[in-house]
Amino acid sequence: MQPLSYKNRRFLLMGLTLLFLVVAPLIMGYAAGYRLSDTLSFIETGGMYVHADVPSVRVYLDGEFIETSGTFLRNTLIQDLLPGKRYLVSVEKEGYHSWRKELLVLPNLVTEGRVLMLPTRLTWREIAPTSTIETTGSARENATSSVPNPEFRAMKELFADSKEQFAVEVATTTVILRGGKRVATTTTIIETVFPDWLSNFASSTNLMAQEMVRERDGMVLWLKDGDLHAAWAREREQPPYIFCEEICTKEMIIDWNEPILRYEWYPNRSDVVLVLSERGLYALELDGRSTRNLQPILPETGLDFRIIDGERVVVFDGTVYKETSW
Amino acid sequence: MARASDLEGRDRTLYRALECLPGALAWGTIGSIILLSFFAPVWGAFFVIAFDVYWILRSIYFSAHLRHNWRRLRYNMRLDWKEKLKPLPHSHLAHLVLLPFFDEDENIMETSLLSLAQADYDPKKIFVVLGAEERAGDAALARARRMEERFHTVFGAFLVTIHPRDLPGDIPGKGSNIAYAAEEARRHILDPRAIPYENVLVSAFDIDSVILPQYFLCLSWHFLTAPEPMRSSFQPVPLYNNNLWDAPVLSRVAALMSTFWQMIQQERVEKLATFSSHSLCFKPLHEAGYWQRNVVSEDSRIFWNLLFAFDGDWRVVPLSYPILMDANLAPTFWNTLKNIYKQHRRWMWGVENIPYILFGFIKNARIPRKKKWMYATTQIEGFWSLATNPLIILCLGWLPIILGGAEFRDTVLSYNLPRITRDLMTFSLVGLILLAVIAISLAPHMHARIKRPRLAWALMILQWILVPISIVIFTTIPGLEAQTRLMTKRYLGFWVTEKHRIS
Repeated sequence: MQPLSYKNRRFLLMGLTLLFLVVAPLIMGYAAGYRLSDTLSFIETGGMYVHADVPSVRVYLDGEFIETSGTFLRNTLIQDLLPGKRYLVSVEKEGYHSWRKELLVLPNLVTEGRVLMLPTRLTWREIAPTSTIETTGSARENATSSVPNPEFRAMKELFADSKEQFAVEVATTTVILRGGKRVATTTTIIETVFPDWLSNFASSTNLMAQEMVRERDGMVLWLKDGDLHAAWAREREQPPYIFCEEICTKEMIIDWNEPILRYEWYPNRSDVVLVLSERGLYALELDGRSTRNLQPILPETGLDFRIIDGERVVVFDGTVYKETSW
Repeated sequence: MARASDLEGRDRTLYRALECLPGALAWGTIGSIILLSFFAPVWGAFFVIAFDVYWILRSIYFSAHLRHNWRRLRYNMRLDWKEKLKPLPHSHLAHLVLLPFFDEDENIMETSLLSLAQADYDPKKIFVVLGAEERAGDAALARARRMEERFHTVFGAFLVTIHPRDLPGDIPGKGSNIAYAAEEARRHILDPRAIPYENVLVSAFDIDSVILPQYFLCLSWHFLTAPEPMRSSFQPVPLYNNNLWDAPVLSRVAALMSTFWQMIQQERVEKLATFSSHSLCFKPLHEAGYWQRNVVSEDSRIFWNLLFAFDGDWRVVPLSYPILMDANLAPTFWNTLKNIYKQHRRWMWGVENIPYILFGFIKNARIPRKKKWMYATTQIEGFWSLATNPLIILCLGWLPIILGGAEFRDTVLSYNLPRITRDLMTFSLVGLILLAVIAISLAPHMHARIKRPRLAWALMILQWILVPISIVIFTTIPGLEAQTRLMTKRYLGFWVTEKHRIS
């Protein structure tokens, strides 16, 4: 039995080379978003990338079902979309608020969207002022008694603390001569100190004078005249997609009907905030492309709230504290 | 000539530049991809996709060679070479077997010698030279003497040679040992018996080389029917079967990948060079001055020595017949891994041939240009691809996304790059099925001592999942290390592969 003949090997090599010359450019073009139109000409297409924190959600495009996302891979990439057109993406799942967004598709680019989906019914755990404990007597039967709840006291302290994100306690010592003696008085005052990387941005936006300044992953928020302002503070980096549609803006103003009483970052996200007003507590998307999704957490009046450990939401209604997470 | 320092003047500068070439190409490729991913990520992504397609088509091309050689190997193993050889006068042929060793166990030496004794060939036409090393000490020499005592009546001649330590011009290693052994065999075996050198076929084996009974018949037939037997080397396929079931899966995968590469090369006859155990006629070997004594990769270097000695008139005849050897196995798993790495680094050190080949091509005007071009490009491409391609496929393909910046990350191309790479690579993994089938068909019978045979078979199939990891750790990284060492004058010395068997 002879080795493969040179002729056969050459033929195979030529065939595969030819295949490479045909296939490689086609795959490269496909990867870049080029598709063959009905008129057999190449057109540029765009795509859409939808990321959901919730597993197994149904994704629709202009009302047409696209796919159910995975349990672990929760992203959906929709390709072959005509550029210059707005598509309505909606994401649904039983027991969750739906998310809808109209997004513009651009040629050879992928328009991103991050889904906000809160459960329609949240489970709340009440933190009462007292807790009941069972005591076991030696001779008599068991008895119960009320004792102060230490968690309630911790919550009370937490809600009493009004320290802002960039607030720093500074001790100043004043020395005066009293009756020929030097007397030193130390006073603790609160100052707002921004980190070095933020200082340019802070001075250009007069951040020192703004109310309730928050920063996360380069995104800076503050309150002004009862409205929420959002800006991208990393001057050397391109702003994230939520600031960009056809062109990117540097600042967004989220107009709220009534004054915002308090707001905090949504757990583990820098594109959603929890906003408290007279209407109650809501999760609000910062992404201003088309309408912002707004989902209720506790639509009641007279509330205050805090975030614990970055993910637990605690609400105080004037008498008890209630905690939830999702 | 082993390295630039062996030369003077402009030749030295030229040789040094050629030593830097493989490393410069490999690092240049890696650096270019990094720069491309950073400054022109779109082109970087296009390059990655084109490279993935090239890799798949290359795999298809090579798998066609592998499949054909698999069929040929099995055909040759079934063939009755005695019948085939019968019409050809061959009683004049003698086989000189060189078995160099360092301090390997007696049972390893014994297995090899027994396989020679049991060969289906007139044992009196087989001359065995056991090449000991003086630096290995008295215990190793005593082992050789015991083997001599046991086998000296079996073969036509049995000679124990002791390669002296610190001979001028020698480096410790197989090359210097077998060169010394071959000359000793000429003086003590061939010349006293007045055997014409052209009637002697020399087989340079490793101490763990075990032949199948018809090996010498197969070799003799190929020698007698070769168009240019005096200008040819004869290359069997190394099958690492001696301890395959005892070796850990990573060692098996590395060993089998090496076998498969040699099987592919057996079908690319014009590009084939000698590797590990090989055979050739004593006459041209003697004329060329035996194996080079001061290089690590003497097995492949001898091919180039002979090519230059005979002005390009040298070739390798593929036997497509196996020779059995040991897969890497040390007493502990970690040591096995270290040994695989070191062995592969030694094989990858074959890159030291590139400056030698290119320098020889520049200096030798009598070798046809076409042949020079073919050999030079094959060798350069071979070492370049071993050191870079798996890295590009498995690691560097993600660089445009990582380094490309926000602008690139928003493109359809950026989103599609990992998906297309993943799909293409998944498709190419289909080829692993072929590798698994061939590996199983060539696997030796399982020892009775294997406690869970079903699990052992399952691992023999599943082990192929480790190919991507194995290829990077045991091919690319040692390849890059070897080329970097050559480029930076940190030359590699010979490392004796530890031989260990579970009896």
